[in-house]
Amino acid sequence: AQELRVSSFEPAPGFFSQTLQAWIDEVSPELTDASMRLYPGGILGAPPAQADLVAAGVADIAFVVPTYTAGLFPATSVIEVPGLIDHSATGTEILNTLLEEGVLTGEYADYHIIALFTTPGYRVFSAEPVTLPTDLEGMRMRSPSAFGARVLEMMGASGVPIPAPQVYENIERDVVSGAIWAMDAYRTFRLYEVAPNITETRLVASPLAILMNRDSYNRLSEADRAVLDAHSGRALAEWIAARIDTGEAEIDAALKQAGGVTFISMDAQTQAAWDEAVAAASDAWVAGQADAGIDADAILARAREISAAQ
Amino acid sequence: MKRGILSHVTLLLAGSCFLLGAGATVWDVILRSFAGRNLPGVIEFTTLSIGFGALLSIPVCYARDQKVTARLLSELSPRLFKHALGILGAVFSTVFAAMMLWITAQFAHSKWGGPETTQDLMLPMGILLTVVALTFAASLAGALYNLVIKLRGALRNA
Amino acid sequence: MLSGLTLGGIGFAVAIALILLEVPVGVAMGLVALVGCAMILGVEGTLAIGATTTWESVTNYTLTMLPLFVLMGNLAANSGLSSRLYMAMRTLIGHRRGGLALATIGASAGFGMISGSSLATTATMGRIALPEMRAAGYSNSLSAGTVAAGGTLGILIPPSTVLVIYAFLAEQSIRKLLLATAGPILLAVLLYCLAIWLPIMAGRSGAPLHARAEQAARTAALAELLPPVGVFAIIMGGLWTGFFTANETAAVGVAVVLLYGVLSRRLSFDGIVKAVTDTAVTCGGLYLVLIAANLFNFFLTLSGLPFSLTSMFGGLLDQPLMVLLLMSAIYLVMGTLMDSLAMLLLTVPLFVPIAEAAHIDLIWFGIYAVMVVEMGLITPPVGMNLFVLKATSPDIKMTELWRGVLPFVLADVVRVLLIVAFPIIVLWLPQVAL
Ligand code: NA
Ligand code: NA
Repeated sequence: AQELRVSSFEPAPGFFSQTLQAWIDEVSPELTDASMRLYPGGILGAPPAQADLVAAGVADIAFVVPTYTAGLFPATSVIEVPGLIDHSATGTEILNTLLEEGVLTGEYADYHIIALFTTPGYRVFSAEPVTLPTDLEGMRMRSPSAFGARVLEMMGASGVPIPAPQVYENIERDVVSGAIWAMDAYRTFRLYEVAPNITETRLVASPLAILMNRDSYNRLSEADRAVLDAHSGRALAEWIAARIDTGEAEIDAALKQAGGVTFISMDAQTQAAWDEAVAAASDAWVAGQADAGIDADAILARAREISAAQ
Repeated sequence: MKRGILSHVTLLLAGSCFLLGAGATVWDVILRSFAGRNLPGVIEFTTLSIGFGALLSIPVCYARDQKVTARLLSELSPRLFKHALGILGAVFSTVFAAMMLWITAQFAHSKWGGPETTQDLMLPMGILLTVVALTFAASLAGALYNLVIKLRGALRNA
Repeated sequence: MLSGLTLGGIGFAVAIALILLEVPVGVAMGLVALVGCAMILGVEGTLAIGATTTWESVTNYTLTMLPLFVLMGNLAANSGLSSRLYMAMRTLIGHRRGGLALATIGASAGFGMISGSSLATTATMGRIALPEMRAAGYSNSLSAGTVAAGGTLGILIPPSTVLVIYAFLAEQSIRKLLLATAGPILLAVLLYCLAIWLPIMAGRSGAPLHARAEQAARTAALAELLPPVGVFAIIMGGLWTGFFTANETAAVGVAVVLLYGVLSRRLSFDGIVKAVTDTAVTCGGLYLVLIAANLFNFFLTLSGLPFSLTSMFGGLLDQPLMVLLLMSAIYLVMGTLMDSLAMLLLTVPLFVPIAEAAHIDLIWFGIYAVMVVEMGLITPPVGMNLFVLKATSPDIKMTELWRGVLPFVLADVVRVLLIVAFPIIVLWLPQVAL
């Protein structure tokens, strides 16, 4: 039987590796002529290489962050626009609706899509409390992506791209004052030791995907393709999104119970200040897609509509 | 001594890339400490500059046969092994250099003119990868050069 | 059709055979990896692997420290900084049995405090200490063995890129891990001193005695220690007070040494040019091996060899000592052929869950893993530290290197046994301090 290589750049105990493993444990026994095995910890390649590796069939299936390969998935990157996404469920709804409406077909032409989902909106983790966007002025922050850095610039801060494992040391040494990131990373990398303030606004978010090599998919027997189809698409994406949102809530509750971390919550006035500070980000995103061959305005408008309906 | 000059210039260029990368990082440290600012894109610039320096060094390494090698047999019995193993190593090196050129050239070709850019400085990947492929072309030339030297040495000895 | 597992084993054997036939290490590992990958994946997949691995290897931010630490060492050597340090050391303790070798271990430990990499530590000390010891009449094997072994302290002593990577992979506290290194570092230095003394006393390595220097010369030598200590103090002080990160120390180190050399007029323009070109020559060879080691690592993973290793542990989980024994054996075998970082990346994701299931403390396990992995740097036939030395001093024979590191490998084995028998050596400080 054929063994399908499932690649994750996250270490085996990481959230997404665990999620993939849970999915494999469910699907693999149902396959008749194939089996699946997880290759965690980036042993099949670094995070930015995952999209190339699955396209070339090195991995049959891979966990991919589409924004790590700047420019390859332009329409998907709409997820990064601030204000669209609070929970993963929202972002996942946006991507799957756009996919069903045919907007994303072109940029995933090389792949068979298993699931498209997103992170929750990223919060601000900082050494010193940040209540208003003006508090970020002059600060250096770890940014999750190039677009995240542009959003930070709009608030007078600068975004520094730092590899995930080195963020802790860079905050400790004051190279950056904090990070715009997910709660999952906050706990995994023990950032609460060096950045004990969490601002409860949501800035950017990241799209996420589980992609399969087209030939690998077509090579499967008809029965196995049916099994895979039954365990992929919108239903899988929503299951993962629920896992993400539950995990986020659990970390949130655990941190609040343990104490030592200051949660800075938003009221109508402070939230309005954040909304205003990132208002220009939408235009910046649209302008950034000028050469991408997509109708960026229409995609953003549709994404807003879906987000509002959630 | 044309080859001497060529490889010397290449090494100088490679070393300058290392210095440039170090300079950017130090400038960033100074700016951060005394002006509270940072140099945009400094990590990516440093990484690319030093990486390019390393790539430039590889062809010279091939040409001068200064690759990391575990010489055991030819030290035990130079008469028996020195030339034979030297040619064997040079042949394998040439094959590997050719494969690496094929690999990097094909990758550069697939990304050429594509939309993909680096994360921070937004440099087009197609151009960067073409530069990588060119250094591996130089490596193949270096490996071939070393193979010719080894063959001549063996002929002279035979 | 060969099974992936058989292919992995055959690939391993072929790579060793090619290396013994004096095919350059990088070429041997790279060729086996590419051919092996092509047999498992087909041509298209192999092309993608080769290309992305090459790109990742040359654009890895942490690895940028490697050329810069080599450059820093070359600049220090060409401005006479390191040789003056050594002359001073020779004046001060060279008259003792094995005094210069002891000084090398001390200087490596000192350099380890500013270098996160074993290779950089070895490369620097190889340029500084090796010529001095040989000129002083120490045997090639003792000189080279001391430098290669001293270099492994670069990983153990903070800052350590490998510890940071372990902390990330195993989700452990970086601070606890750093504190946990203190006991093992003292133990390492102590055991390395024994590894120098015992063979000398048994008459098995040449280390000539020198007359004790005059008091005036000894006082002058003390003054000569000031510039290098000052450079180290600036670099370390800046690191610990938070002016720059571990990754940035390399660049700052280059700047500080360059500034010292120019201001003291000891570094000529020709000296700078020579330092820069020498660095490029060394780094060309190192990056070739690095790219190939990553490819080879990839091929082994693909063959499924690591997975069948983990299944071996299934029935042993209630016997932590057996688990450790088996892991140590695997590390020793892998360490003979593989690069330490590649080994750690490959094994930690597989071994940490096993260690956890066997109720082994994961801070302790981190220190253990770093120690056994660093041992691989000096075990023949493929020990990266040995190759770095070979690259800096091509006239030293490989057999001399292998003979020279033997006492230090034994010292490492003793050290691992000691922390297994007395885990408190590792865990005491983190428990007390946190
Ligand atoms: Na160190
Ligand atoms: Na080894």
